[in-house]
Amino acid sequence: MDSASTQPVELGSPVGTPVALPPASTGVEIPAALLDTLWSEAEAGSLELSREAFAQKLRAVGAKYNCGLAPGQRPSPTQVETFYRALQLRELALAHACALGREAAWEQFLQRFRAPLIQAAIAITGSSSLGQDLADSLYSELFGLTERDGQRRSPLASYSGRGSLMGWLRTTLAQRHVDHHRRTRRETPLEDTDVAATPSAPTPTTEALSRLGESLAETLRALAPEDRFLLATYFLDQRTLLEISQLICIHESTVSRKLKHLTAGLHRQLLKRLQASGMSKRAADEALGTDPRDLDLNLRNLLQAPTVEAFSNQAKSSGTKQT
Amino acid sequence: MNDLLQPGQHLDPDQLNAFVEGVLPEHERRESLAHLADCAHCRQIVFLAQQAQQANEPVPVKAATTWRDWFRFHPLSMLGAASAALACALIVTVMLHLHHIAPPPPPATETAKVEPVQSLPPVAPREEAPIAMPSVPERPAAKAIPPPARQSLALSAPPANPIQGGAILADTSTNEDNARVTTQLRRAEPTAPAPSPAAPYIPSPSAADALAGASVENLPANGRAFLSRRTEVTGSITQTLQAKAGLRPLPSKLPIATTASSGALILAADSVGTLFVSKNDGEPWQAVEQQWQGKVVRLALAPRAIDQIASQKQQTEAKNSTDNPAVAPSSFQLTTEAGVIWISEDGMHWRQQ
Repeated sequence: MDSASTQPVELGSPVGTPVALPPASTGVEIPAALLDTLWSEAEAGSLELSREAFAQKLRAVGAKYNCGLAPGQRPSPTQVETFYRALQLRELALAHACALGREAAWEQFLQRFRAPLIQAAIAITGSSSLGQDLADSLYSELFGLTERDGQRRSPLASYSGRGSLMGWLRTTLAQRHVDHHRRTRRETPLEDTDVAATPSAPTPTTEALSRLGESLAETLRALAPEDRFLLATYFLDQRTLLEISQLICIHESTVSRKLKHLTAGLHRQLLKRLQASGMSKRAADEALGTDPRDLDLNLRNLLQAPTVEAFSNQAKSSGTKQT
Repeated sequence: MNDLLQPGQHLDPDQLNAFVEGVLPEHERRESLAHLADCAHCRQIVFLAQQAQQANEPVPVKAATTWRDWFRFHPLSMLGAASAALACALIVTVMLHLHHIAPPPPPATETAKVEPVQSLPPVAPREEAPIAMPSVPERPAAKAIPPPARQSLALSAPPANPIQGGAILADTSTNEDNARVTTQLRRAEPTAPAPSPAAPYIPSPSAADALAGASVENLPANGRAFLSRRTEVTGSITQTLQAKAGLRPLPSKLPIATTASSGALILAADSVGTLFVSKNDGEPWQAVEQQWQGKVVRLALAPRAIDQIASQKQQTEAKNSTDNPAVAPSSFQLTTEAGVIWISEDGMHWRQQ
């Protein structure tokens, strides 16, 4: 599941070669007046990006994200305009022009993002040399040196303009770094490194352990996605409250409070489930005091078990996905 | 965008970056969060990207709070405003409640508080012991003098024992037929009976004040005076500050220091001791030629005159007559600053006693 991917997600073209654009009919209809305005605001003309090329990119983005609406909803003209005006138009035009191999766009890209890209890579790797290597690797990839099916591909084509281009570059750098790390290092399971401790308490019976394991699995599965995210980042990834709070844009104390409520709620739910399975309250309390090493459970797998229900209606495959 | 989230697949950098920058729509954010909860790989990427962002971008320094920030909408600010409004409402409610349960102000005819007392002119001391009032004929046509100081008096609740603590009390009475309403200041004595609110009028003879030689009291600098009005049924004198204030001003434009009256005949001495007489309740005043040495410090009725007034009142009550404006002749006496007493029947001609 954690297979990394370095494949570009959209087709690009080598610099200076013509690009086979997708048909214009696929995408959201953009009024001509709005398109002119967006094209002017994006300063796409200075990037050697034609109006039609920019319109195709806008349509593709609008169709991919349904103009910011939930799937199945049809956007109104106002919603279409709001969605497009909220995009980072200049950076979208720059990225698309770079993906199309426009010389002027690359000059501007290098001027603006070359140094920040190296700094971000150094920050991610924690090393100047590794950071420089990572940045160079990504730069060549962005330039379209990678070929697939006889065509050069640039990851810049996957930039949608919803976030900043620099943020996209940072995330791409982080993804490449994680992929590289996972390829070059062997992942060792925690179970192998754990040293068995001397049991200080009598080991519960096998039946009690089985009930406890089942109850724990059910309780964790019943958690909301956001709750599982908090538990996973805090207890599995060992992230700090500050890191979590900055990522999900809530206050650090709120994260702490939520975690406290979550663990307390988990305890209560476990007690209920154990009692419902036939254990007395005292026996349930004792079972909760069981040494976790006595349990034949992989909490990481339990906590990170994908919620099938959430994706059951998303069986469609897409070429834009990474595998 | 649901094709972005497939089981077993990772989010692309564009989606992850949009999540980190918080620009995803709510439904996409929930789905991304659900994926991140299950995918340690993507979690690692977003935390690394966030770490790089914080390393490269300086922490924005929060701008100083401006006045606009006070009016900017914020859930906590709304909560604070609601709390402030609730506190204000509570304070107002408590104040109204206390105002409701506060004792009602005393009737205007009971006691009143006068302050500051420093503005009162110094007057001579007088005796405290009330004297049994002799029966005097009622003055039928006596003009009721409105109490000018009443409006300026701050009403206060009657004390439980208004004569305790050395407070200065005054008896009060309502207007009656042929009665002159004056006000009298009197220092309270512990031995004096306390007037009850139901019967606020103490029938102390005003003539006794004349006999006592003084009807007003020097007030302590920080003292408070409880004033009450009393009906002067005798038609004789009761000199008070309020009575002075009710009279027409003297030709000398100086304040009245002492006064005495018998019927419509009024004598008054100003603060420099000049004596004036009026035969019609103070209009017009006529200066009296000074026949004595020094200034007049006190005016009073002679004891013989008091007896005459008392008997005249008895006769008047027996006849129950109200149309007799005549007042029996009486004698006035004045005291100079040297202590010499002079006697006069008409106020114009004086002889040394």
